[in-house]
Amino acid sequence: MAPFFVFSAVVLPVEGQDASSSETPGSSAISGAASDPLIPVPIAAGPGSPRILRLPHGGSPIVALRLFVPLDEAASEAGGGWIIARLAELRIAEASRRLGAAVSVRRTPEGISYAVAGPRTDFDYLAYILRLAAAEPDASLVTDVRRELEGALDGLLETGPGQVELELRLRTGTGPPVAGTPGSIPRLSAAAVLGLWSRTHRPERATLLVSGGVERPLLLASLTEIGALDGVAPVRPGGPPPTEPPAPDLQLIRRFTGRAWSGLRATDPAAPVLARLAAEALRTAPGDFEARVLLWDAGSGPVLAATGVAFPARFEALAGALDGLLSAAAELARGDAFTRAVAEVRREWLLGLGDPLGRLQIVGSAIEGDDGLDAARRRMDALDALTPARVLEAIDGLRGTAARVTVR
Amino acid sequence: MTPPATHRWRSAALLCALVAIASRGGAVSAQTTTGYDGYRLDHVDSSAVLVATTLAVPSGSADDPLGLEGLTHAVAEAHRIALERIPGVLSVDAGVLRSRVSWTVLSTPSAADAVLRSLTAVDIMLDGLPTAIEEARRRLAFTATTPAVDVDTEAAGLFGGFGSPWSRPIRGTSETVADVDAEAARERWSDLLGRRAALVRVGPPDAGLDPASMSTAPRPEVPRAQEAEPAAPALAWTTPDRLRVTRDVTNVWIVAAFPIPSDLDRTTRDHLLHRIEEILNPVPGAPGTIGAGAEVARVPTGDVLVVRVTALPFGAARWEDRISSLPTDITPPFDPEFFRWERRRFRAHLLLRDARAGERALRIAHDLLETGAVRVLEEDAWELAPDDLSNAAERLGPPRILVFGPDIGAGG
Repeated sequence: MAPFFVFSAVVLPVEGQDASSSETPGSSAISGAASDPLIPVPIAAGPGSPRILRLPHGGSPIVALRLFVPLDEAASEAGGGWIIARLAELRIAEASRRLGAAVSVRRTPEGISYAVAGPRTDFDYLAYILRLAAAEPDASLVTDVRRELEGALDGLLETGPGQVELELRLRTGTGPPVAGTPGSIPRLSAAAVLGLWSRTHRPERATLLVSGGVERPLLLASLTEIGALDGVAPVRPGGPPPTEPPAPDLQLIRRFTGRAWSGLRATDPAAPVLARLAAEALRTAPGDFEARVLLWDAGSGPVLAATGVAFPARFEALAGALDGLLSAAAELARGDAFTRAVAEVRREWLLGLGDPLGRLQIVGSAIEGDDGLDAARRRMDALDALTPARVLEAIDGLRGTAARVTVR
Repeated sequence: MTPPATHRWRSAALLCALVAIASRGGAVSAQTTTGYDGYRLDHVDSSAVLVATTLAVPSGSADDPLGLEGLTHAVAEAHRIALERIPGVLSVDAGVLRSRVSWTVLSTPSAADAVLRSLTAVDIMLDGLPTAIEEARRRLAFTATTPAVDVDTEAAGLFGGFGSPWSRPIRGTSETVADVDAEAARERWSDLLGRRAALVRVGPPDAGLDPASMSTAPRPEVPRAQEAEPAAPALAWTTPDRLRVTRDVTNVWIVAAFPIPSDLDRTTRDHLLHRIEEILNPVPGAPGTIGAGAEVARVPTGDVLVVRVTALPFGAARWEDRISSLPTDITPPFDPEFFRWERRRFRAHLLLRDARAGERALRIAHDLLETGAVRVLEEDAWELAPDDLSNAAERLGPPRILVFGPDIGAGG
């Protein structure tokens, strides 16, 4: 994981982005077949085992596995999941390189996903990599990784955009940011991180998503004993959130500002479409400034944010563009821009399905945010059925929720 | 309009053909060969969610008319731009080499037939031509003075012969691109589609060819001529060469090409390429290295294995030595375990790449152009023997090496 994971979000370029395929909604069904490539089926597993789901694989010689572990960090543990994920990434790097397997470890607001893909004939080794990924972290390495995270966060806080984004995230999230806060990270001891791992990485809490022709007994034998198996799970620490130190003073020539709106539903395709409309609105807004649109998951749902920078003489134009962003996006939603934005979102989602790990990530993350096995299919269908009226409705729901931050 | 002759394996019955199980042991990739508008269309059922369609033609920028260098590139880009406008198309890759051009279109299954019809349609390509020419001119204006362009020019001259049509710039120059017009593009298009081509579709089983599309498909406007495949010589060259180009730039570029014996099995060749890429990109990385990679290219006299390294000047001499000794450094494995892991890595590399529909369609198209048969990678990789790699490396011809960069004294 690169340090930019600290502020992971979908960043939308404000420069022109070609929506090359402006397909009308509803015309891009990718399956009508009985075995929908987006809908997994459950596999019976014994008590104390992860929930196991299998996606249709069409006889592919590739096996892909994705283990998802939900995380519920206490405020004092904020950043602990990031450290667990980073340690897992380091732990499996050599093992995966040895085989040439594709691997991915992601910390999302809901938890951590560990994924691996490789030849079906190497299933034993792939399962080993997955067990290794979800294994207990090495306590002696926690400090090093915590310093890496601290360094990345310090680097961001030394910049105007970094301070704006962190403050917006703190104000709009239901919990602390997944990469922690300046107040929480220094308090993350090895014991705290191991406690978080032991509490969360229980096999019965995990979900295993499989794509590939592996027989059930082999699957169960290789992967049910994964994560923290022994003892009693530690209790989630309580207490108030850590005190946040003041952000460092910056010697700035330009001024930085941002807005963040919350209230979008996690499964609503209006959110990414709206983000694209907002990006287009900013691109065409008059004024000499730089700005960008972000869409991040705050735990309770997506947050639409826009941040920008301008010299003092131009600052009012920037602030005006951000304050009027929802109205400008609404105007675009009534025109051709809506069709282009829907096509862009559809294209991004479909291209994500193009490789074994990508499909697992899309299907898995949809299930985690929605809890239905057909969540990814419903999300795709909802995008096809999306109307300008629905986007306007979503915009109305955001009005009056703006968090505002300015760094001078 | 005359139906296309040849070489695209036209079959009398358009929808007849054979179904071969392209993978044993329960792995199911059924390859169906049908006719489509005079082309042989290879449809491979796969677990892919999307459909990839590739059209590959064994003619590239080396066949541009004199004074119109960049024409093939402009045509390829024009077609890419036009294909991207088709509803349901997600991405289009246009690949232009000196000896080959290809388009790979990733689409939804419902758009796959429209893609197929459009891939061979000249009018579609012409729609995108003005934008393509404008983009090409803009890009050339920005890149005209970059070292990478000069490196490519010098390397092409060293490997293909200075003054040879093969060695001319793939993208042409601002002057030659300015002369590209619709008539030239139409002629080049007819020439391209008159050649033996590979048309491949990879996708889910329910994305098969719609028979209705067969009757409405437009046909290319010019009948295609018979074309004989030239017999490749044993090696592209038999004597080594070295070219040192001194320029006052920040980095050093080293480009080396080793002739590949024409009878070397393709999977063994890919194995060798994979091993060399591993050697070039160790973990942790070699100090002073900015980038390194390898590829197979076809020069006028045969295939060569091209190694490219960009390094800081202090590491250049060491890199040149390493590259020169690459074939001898690949020795028979002393430890069978090392070979087994190396072969597993190569196999994983092949199969993971093949799991992406676009890359698989392009790979199959290249298989067809080179040998007329589609490799079964899952099986082929198992058949590699411990000594195959070192034997293949030993058979590589002597390298031609370009070193491009600042004068760094001894060894430079």
